[in-house]
Amino acid sequence: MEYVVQQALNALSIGGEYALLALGLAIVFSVMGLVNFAHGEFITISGYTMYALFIFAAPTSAWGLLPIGILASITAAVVFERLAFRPIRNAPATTGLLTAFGLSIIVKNFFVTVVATRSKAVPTPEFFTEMITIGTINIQVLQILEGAVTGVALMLLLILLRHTNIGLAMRAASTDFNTVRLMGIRANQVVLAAFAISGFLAGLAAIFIIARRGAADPFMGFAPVLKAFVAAVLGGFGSLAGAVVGGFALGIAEVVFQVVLPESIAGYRDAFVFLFVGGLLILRPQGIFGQSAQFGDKEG
Amino acid sequence: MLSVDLLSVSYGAIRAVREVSLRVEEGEIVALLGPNGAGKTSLISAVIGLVPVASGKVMLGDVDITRKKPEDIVRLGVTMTPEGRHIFGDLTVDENLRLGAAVRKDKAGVKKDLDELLAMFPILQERYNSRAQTLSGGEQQQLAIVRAMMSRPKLLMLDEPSLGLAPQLVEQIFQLISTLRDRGVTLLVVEQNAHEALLFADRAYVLSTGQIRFEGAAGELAGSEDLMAHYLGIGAETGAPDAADAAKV
Ligand SMILES: Nc1ncnc2c1ncn2[C@@H]1O[C@H](COP(=O)(O)OP(=O)(O)OP(=O)(O)O)[C@@H](O)[C@H]1O
Ligand SMILES: [Mg+2]
Repeated sequence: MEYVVQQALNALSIGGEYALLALGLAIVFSVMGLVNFAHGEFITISGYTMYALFIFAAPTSAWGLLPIGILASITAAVVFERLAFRPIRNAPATTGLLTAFGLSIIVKNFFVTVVATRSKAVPTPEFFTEMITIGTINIQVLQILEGAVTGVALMLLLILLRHTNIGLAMRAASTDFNTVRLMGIRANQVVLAAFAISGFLAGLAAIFIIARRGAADPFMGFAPVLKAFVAAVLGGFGSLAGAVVGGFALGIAEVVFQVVLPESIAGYRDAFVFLFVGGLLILRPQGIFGQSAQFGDKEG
Repeated sequence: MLSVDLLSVSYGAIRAVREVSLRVEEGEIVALLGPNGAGKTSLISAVIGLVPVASGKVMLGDVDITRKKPEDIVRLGVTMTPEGRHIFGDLTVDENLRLGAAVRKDKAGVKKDLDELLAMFPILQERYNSRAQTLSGGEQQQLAIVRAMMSRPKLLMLDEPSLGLAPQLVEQIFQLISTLRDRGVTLLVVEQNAHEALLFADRAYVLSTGQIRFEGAAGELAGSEDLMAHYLGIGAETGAPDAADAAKV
């Protein structure tokens, strides 16, 4: 029983992390058609900002690092948009893709050069690693927090998307940006909001990633965001609901394979997961929530 | 209210609008007619800032709006319903209309306008919480018009409001358009349905291959078989827009 509950929570927390990241990718893609390969760098920047604060400001409690980590990720997203993506907004999709790749390489190499390739320890609150006991079951606080924070973030996002003008505009812009502008809504604000949200979600994920590995390194954003891409594609790229469902589905698949694979091949877990996802995509190429292109969907 | 002066629009080598001048006075309904590919959509898209102006000048009252962004022009009181409706299909009717009023701060006024407009367009009241893409073509057209009205425009430009609608609906839409004038809106209506449009318009312009070929009172154009046949290719007997169809082939 305890094993089952723990594995379920495990799936939920890993899935939550993928969902947060996939959602950030999906929001930016749905609003401006950009596949942001530099998304992982938000995590890295968040990690190094917390590291720098820890070294230079020597805070007495690690709690103070968390909001700064999130803020750093949001700031990075907003700055990337303003400096790199805005000038090429109307360029072909491949230009955006290459710009994002370039940014990603620049940021990684910046940290390699200025800090080090080796990882640097970043403390997170000890509370995260404490165990709490519910009935007969021991659970790590971090796992519960991760599930809970993901849940709250998704709820807040849902409220934003349904009940605020900027949220409605982001949903509308995913199919028809020009008409959104005809409502008098500023294009720059919609794109900025999409990036800020994407950065915020990545910042939340960054906190949990750092809490688990206890350190920052220049390549730390790569693996989680690769998984998030897979999750987003599985859910249907660009679909927000799809990103969330894809994230949790991927988390569950990972844990299930971890549990059922015999020990001798458990190291190939990811290969099995990707094979499974590939199989699903053969059956449903547009992803779980993706719509196959429909006649008259978009003009031009 | 609106004055367009020697406006040109180009897409690469294609010169879609060539030194067009037109005026719309406050309180008027002006029809902008012409066959497929004449440049009608390009003209009003340039006015609202959605496509770049190559040369010329667009004035709203005494404000120069040439090369302003669409969102800024909308905030000055001009809006447009795009060709093919472009309602937000994933959003509900309610959400579409809320976006229409996004630039307004007067909540009470928004509520009042919404109630009045929903009374004029009862089908939207009925489908208020449905996703907009589940509406019929005619209902979507009504939604597009009401959504534009929610910003309380001084000038509303409609791009082919009758496109794809059954004949009885076409008349209904035009009737609704003329009631908008009673709400104090000035209208510039792009149409291929020349006969219907001219019944409701005060004045008309005919555009063909990017140039103005006729301007004058709507009655003058409608009353003259020669003019109609010559500029719009409409035979008095059939009333069919065959030139418009021919232009597509
Ligand atoms: N985005 C574009 N890129 C290149 N050419 C364009 C573009 N939009 C329009 N054109 C061309 O400009 C000319 C005018 O097109 P426009 O859409 O303004 O005509 P229209 O009068 O609105 O026609 P319709 O009645 O069919 O809507 C056409 O030759 C068209 O092919
Ligand atoms: Mg047109």
